[in-house]
Formats: sequence, C-alpha cells, structure tokens
Amino acid sequence: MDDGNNFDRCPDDVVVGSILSRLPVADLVRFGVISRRWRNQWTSVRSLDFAPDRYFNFLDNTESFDEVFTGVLNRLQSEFPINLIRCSIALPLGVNSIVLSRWLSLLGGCSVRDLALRSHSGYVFLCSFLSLIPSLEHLELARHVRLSTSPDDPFLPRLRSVALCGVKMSIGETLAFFLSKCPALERLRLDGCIFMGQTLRVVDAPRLTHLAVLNTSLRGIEIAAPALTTLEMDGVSMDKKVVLNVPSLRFLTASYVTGNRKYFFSSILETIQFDCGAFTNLLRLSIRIDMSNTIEAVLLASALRACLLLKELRLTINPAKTNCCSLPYDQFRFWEKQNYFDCLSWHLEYASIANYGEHCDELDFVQFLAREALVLKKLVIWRSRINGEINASAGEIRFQATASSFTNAASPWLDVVWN
Amino acid sequence: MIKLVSGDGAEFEVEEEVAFQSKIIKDIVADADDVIPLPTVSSKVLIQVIEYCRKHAAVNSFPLSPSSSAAAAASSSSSISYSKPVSDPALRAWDNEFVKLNNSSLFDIVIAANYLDIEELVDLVLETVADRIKGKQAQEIRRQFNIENDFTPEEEEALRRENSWAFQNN
Repeated sequence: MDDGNNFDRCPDDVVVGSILSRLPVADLVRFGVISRRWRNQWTSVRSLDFAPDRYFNFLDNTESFDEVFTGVLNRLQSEFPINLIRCSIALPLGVNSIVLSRWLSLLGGCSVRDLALRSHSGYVFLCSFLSLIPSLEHLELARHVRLSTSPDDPFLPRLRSVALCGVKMSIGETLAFFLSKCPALERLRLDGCIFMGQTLRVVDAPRLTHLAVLNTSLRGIEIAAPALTTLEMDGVSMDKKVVLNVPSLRFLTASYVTGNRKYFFSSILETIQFDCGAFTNLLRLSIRIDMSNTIEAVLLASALRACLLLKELRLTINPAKTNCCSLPYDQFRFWEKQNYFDCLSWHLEYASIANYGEHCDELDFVQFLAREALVLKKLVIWRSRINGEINASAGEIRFQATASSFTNAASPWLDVVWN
Repeated sequence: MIKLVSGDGAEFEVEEEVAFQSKIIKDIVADADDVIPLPTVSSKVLIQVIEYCRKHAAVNSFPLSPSSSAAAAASSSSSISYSKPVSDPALRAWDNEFVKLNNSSLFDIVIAANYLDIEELVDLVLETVADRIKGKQAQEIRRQFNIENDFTPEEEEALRRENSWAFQNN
C-alpha cells in the first residue's frame, strides 16, 4: 500500500476545488500551515465559509470578526484571478447595518455569485442590501433572519435561486418581493419557515421551475407557475387543500405531507380530482405511503390513473403504520383488483420501493406491478432494515414470495435489484 | 458487457450501465472496442469503484434523473452547488458506509474516480476527507494524512502569527 503523502498524490485543482472549498475559513487558514505546497493555495478557493469553530469563535465579537473578514477578503483580492464564487457567513451577534453593508460591498467587489447568511440572534435583514452584490445569483438566508422589504427595493436581475431556511417572515410580502423584484427567479426553497398560519401563495412566477416547501405548517398552498417542473413537499402539514396550476410539472416529491385528515397526500388527491391536468405530464412521482391503509392505497391508485406519462415511481413505505384507521388493508386486498393503468401499460420504466418488509399489502402491490407494468425495466427494492441489518423478523426467507412474483412478470425486460 | 483490465492485469466484466457511470469509459466505448485497459488503477481499487458504480447504476441509472440532466450540469459549472440532486435516502446510507475507509484508501479511490471521471464518487470521497480535516490543528492533519512539515520553526511561527485568530483556543 502506498504510504506516501496522500495530498501530494492528488492534483491541485482537485484539492483546492473540492476539499478546501468545503472547509470553514479557520480550517482553510490552518491548512496553509501544513506544508509549503499548501501555503498559498487557500487563496484560490471558490467558496469561503465564515463559520465559528473552537479556535475561532466570533459570534459575540463583531469587531474581531470584521478584522478577520476584511483581512481574508483583501488577501483574496490581492491574488489574481479571484476564483471566489460563494460566501457563507454566520453573522456575529449585534452586527449592524453599516458593517454588514460594508461586507456585502466587499463581496460585490469579488463578483460573488452565491451568498448564504445565517444568524442566531434575530437579525433584521434589509432586502435592499442585496443590490450591493450585483453579480448575485443564489441567495440563502437561514435561522433567525427576519426579512424587511420595501416597495422601493431595487430589482435583482440576476438572482436565480433563493433558499429561505427557518426564516421568520410575513410570507405575503417576502414572496411578493422575490417574485416581483427578481425577474430571473427559477428556484425557490422554503425550509422550516414560520408562516404563522398563512396560505403560501406562489403566483405570478413565470420563470419558476423548482419549488420546495419543507418542514412547515401552513394554512394551504396555492401555486400558479406555468414553467414549474419540480415540486417537492416534505414535512408539511396543512389545514386546507392544495391548489395547483402547474401544467409543466414533471417531478413531484411528497413525503410526510399531512392534512387534517391525516393521510399523506389527501390534499394532492383533491387536486387531482379538481384539476386532472396537473398530473398529466408527470414523469416522476416520489411519495411516502402507508400501504397498510386502504385509503392511502386508493389515493396512490388515483394518482397513478391521473399520471398518463409516468416513467419513474419511487415509493417509500412508511414504517410507522397508521393502522388505527378504519380500513385495514388485509380486508380489502385492494391491489389484487386493480388493472389497466395507462402509465403502467405504456410508460413506467423504473420503480423503487424503500423500506420494503413484505407485509401482505406490500407484497400485493409488488405483484400488482409485476402483473400490470408492461414496460417496466427496473425495480429496485430496499428491504427494511434496523441498524443496517435486514429486519430479522422479515428475514431472507420471506422474500421468496416476492421474488417468485417476477418469474411471470408481464414486462419482458424486467430487472429486479435487491438491496 | 464491457471488460475492464486493472493495472495488475485482472479482468472485470461489468454491464454497460455500470461502466457508464464513468464518463471517460462512456466516451471510449463510443469509438473503440469493449476491452478497456486501466493501467493506473489497481485491482483492489477497481473492485471498490465497480462496487460503487454497480450500486449507483442499479438505483440511479434512469435517464430522467435530474443529476444527469443538462440543466444540472449547466448549473454546477456556473456555480458550486452543495445541494445534492434528489437521491434515495437508502443510497445515501449506503454511501456513508462505503466511505468508512482509511485515508490512504480514500485517496486511492478518489484518484481512480477522478481519472475515470465519476463525478459523484469524487465528490463523495472528498467531502469525507474535508470532514476529517475540519476542526483539527496542523499537527493532527499532518499526522493523519502523512504530510511532511517542510517549514522551518521560524517560518511556521510567522505564518501562525499572521493569522493568529485561527489558532487561538478561546
């Protein structure tokens, strides 16, 4: 085995681009003391992450942070060319607007394209500051940042993606700001945002292609985005239904989406009933489902009927059975009676099932797929595991029933992969 | 089937979709035959790389995965994207087990993966390496990764003074 210096075996651009660009600033600077070869390499990183660590904890000291930040940025600017693309800053407590605007101007001087700001202290961020970085394309604001917008805020013509994580906001104003001032906005990600029981309305978003709504509780969702291709919802609870006008939707992920009725995607089903067009063009559906619950099985079947062109289906079996419901699967054997689905007959080529435990409901579904999916090329099954081991009670031997379902599978190309 | 030949002459037969996780192999196969010598890759490393490719091909090879789409390529070239494309949580868990290797093996894999142009594998391994550097002092990193300190004590001291904020333990 080679005992030589590991880093020296790696090309510079790989080390700088892929290792150093992932390190927080203090680690980066410490890396410069390792050996001569790496002394100045850190100045050509593409990404700076000003995060506190145990040697460099600036969160309660804006002045020393200011010194370090200015020093590092000046050092980078003295090199040519400047490779910096991304900067991420954990804002110190008590940073004021004057200091922050100076930092942002420095980043603007480096033509930074990605900016991520985190705050632990309820910082009020003025959206007008964003124009200090005219090159800005990606913005991420996280933790206790509050946004403040005003009608006079300038346009941000290059901003293409916005991610707001745990941001407290008056959602109407904030989204109106990003949707009206950022004509190029394509991606919007709302993760753990506090909506105070409001309805999420994403309308008038002509160029929006990606929307993710994660870990939040809402009154309802209303989306009208003609170009939206990808919608992701996870950990969302809603009182009211979803209203979608998304004719271009291709990829839908919905896991842990709960409504008042406690079923994972009942809201989505309502959408299908009201507007069959929304799912017509869907190519990939990824959902989490409790197969032991007949209502969810019916919902899945309705979704499959509405998806005329579906090529890829990814199911995650919900391990926590909500069997308290009144329609336990084994009385109905729903999947045994289902047949003739457009997407299964003509389009579905790939399916995966995670957390598979070969319960009667799951086995029925797999047999249904083997029977009805005429052009299925690949089925990937991840068996349910506990601590990395295949669940002993659902041991190897039980999977023979599933395996034998495929000996007479309808699709001549079917390849089954077990994990 | 495509035949890969490692530096020590061992032959490995793999399915096309597995081998095509490597962009280089995909390009070579397009205009040459199906036996591909990989003189710089040892059998041990090639076995690991094939294991990774086989797992990812099995789960991810589907053409409409956004990870392989042109849009994803365009956005990653214009900017560093740390948000991973949609991926199976189960596959992620498998990846985490896969990288539980010593540093030297990790670098063996990354060099092979870089040579074969398997972007996701390079990223996976280097992310692991970066995690092992985080929060450590220079001496620890040198020891861990077998790097010789070629600074004189005075030079090193000067460098530390220059950026003393990164070295104080407060």
